[in-house]
Order: sequence, then structure tokens, then C-alpha cells
Amino acid sequence: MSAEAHRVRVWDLPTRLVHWALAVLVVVAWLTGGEQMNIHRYAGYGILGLVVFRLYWGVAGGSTARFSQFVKGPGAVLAYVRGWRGAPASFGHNPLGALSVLLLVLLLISQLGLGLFAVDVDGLESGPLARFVDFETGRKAADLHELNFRLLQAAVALHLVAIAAYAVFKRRNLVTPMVTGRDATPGLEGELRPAPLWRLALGVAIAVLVVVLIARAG
Amino acid sequence: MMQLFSASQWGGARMTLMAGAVALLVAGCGQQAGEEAAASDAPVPAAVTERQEGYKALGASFKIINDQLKTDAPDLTAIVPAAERMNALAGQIPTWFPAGTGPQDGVKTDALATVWTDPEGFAAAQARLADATTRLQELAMAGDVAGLREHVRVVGASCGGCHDNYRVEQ
Repeated sequence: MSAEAHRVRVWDLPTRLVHWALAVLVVVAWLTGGEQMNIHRYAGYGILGLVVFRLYWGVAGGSTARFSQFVKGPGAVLAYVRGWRGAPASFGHNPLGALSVLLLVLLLISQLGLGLFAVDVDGLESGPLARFVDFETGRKAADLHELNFRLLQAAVALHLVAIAAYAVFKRRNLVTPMVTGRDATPGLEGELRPAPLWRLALGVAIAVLVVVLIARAG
Repeated sequence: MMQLFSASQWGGARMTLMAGAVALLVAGCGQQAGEEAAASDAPVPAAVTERQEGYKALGASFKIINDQLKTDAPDLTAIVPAAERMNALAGQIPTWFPAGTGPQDGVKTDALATVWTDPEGFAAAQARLADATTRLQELAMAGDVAGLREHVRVVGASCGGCHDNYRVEQ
């Protein structure tokens, strides 16, 4: 039996692509914010499309991407935290990691929402929906956009610390599976039920439509 | 500590001496701490409020223009008065920074002390904005939408020209 046989498929391709594209675009948006506003705007549109798609994929995607599959109640989360050291490797998100996913998605949504209405101090640069609010409101949105970004940074830092903690304390490599889709953790059991291709096409269409509608509103 | 200098203007010579002593004492404690302590209990001069309102009105007017220019059919009846307002406000800027209203006076302000220490540079930057808004008003009154769309970049750059050197980095 080859080593390949022990690597179980965990993440489907759209989930992985969305994950890494988000990582890249959030960094791009971070570096261009307040400086290269044209690039920042396109990064924002990209993130908007990715988040819309991820929300859709959370109900229509492969099994491990679905919120109903990985979001657990407080009891399950507490039990997982209490037995963290000895807990067997989870197939897909564990109950605690699920909260981290939700936190990141929520912070991305609020970041996008604020950015759509944000106006710079000169009244020159603004989000695509900023013309529906007055200058003062747009400035508040910009201030909150900046504040919310600090929260997003903290959540990303927590995400990275958690990945490091699994590597150090549990000898679990969480990065490779997010790249290749396959997890080589011994004893890992589960089956990824991928979504059919038409669902992917529909999700892409929805995401593109939302981005185009919002970009054109501005 | 520094607000004592402005207080001394009406507080007499004794205050000036005290202020000097306090300033010397606090100077070693770091500018940041000194400014914060001073800013918290200094009344905000009317000129500061006036210029803050002025810049907000400038930004709000510029936003109105840019919002319109983003649309397929910009409304000139909204753009023209906003451009006139910007041009009028840009011309008032030299009156917005009287002595005693800078961070060096203990006033809580995003203006940098360079406004007062480099008056020629500040005046030149202000003149650049005033020129840009004059042209903006001309283009608006001529109904030249294409010209406006290009020229708002010039106006924006002249806002930035001042903000880079004369205002706290945002």
C-alpha cells in the first residue's frame, strides 16, 4: 500500500483556493490601504467576491466546508477545549477552530461593509456606496474600517498561533492539507463529500454578480 | 505643559515665568506625554474649531463633486456650488492658523508645528490648493465634466501636498 492511500481528502479545491486568495488579498488590502486606493478598491472587490462565495459554499459546498458540518454548540466546544491535549485529530474543522472560522468571516464581512461606505479625509477617495451617505458618516465608516482591521489582524494572529500550537503540542500539520487538500495525520477518519461542479459554477456566478452590482452602484 | 505659554498671553509675566519653569521641567519627560497632559485641560481655541469645521466643509464639498463625477451623468447643479464653496474655503485657509493654536501651544490639534515654523512652505501649499480650486470652479462653471474628472486628481494631490508635511499622519 502506498503512502498516498493514508492521505485522506479533507478540503475541496474551491475551499482551498478561497482560503489562500483571501490570505493574499487581505495582505494586499492592508498594504495599499490609505496609499494605493485603486489597488485597495480592487482588493476589496476581490475579497467581497470570495466572502460571498465562501458563505454560499458554507451551505452548498463540499461537506467539510459546510457550516452545518463544523459549527458545534458551546457544549461540544467546551468538551473539546477540556480534552484538547488528548483529543483525537478532527476530520476538517474541530469545534474550536469552527469559532475561529466564524470570527474571521464575521470580521471580514464587517470590514467589507465599512469599506463600502468609507470616505478619506480629503473627500477624494471613497467606497462604492459612500455616495449614499454624507461626509461625516463616511469618515466614521473609515475610522471604524481602520479599527475593525485591528480586530481582523488580531483574529488572523490568533489563527496563526493556533496553527503553530497544533504543530508544536499535537504534532499536527494543518498547513499542508490546506494546500494539497489531503491530510496525512495517522488514524484520521472521514470522507469528504465534494459538491458537484454545477454548484461551483452557480457560486462563482453569484459572487461575480454581487461584486459587479456593488461596484456599479458607485 | 505648553498651553501655559498661551495662557501667559492673558496671565501676565508671572505666568510666563512659571510656564517657562514648567516647560523646562516637563521638556525632559518627552513631547508626547507633555502634549497629552496639556491637551486634556486646555480649552480648544475658537480658531481650531473654525478650521476643523472649514476642512470638514472642504472634504464634504469635494465628496459631493467626486460622488457626482462617478455617475454617468454628473449633476452640475450640485457640482458648481460645491466647487464655489471649496474655492472660497481654500482662500480662507491662511486665516485659520493664528499664533497660539498649534501643538507647540498645547492645543489638541492634528496640525503640525511646521505650519508655524515653515510659514513660507505652508503658504505655498495653501496657494497650490487655492489655484487648484479656482480652476475647479472654472471647469465646473464651464460644465466641462471630462476636465473636472481629470482635475479632481490635481485638487486631491494639493490636499495631500499639505497633509504630508503640515498635519499629523492619519
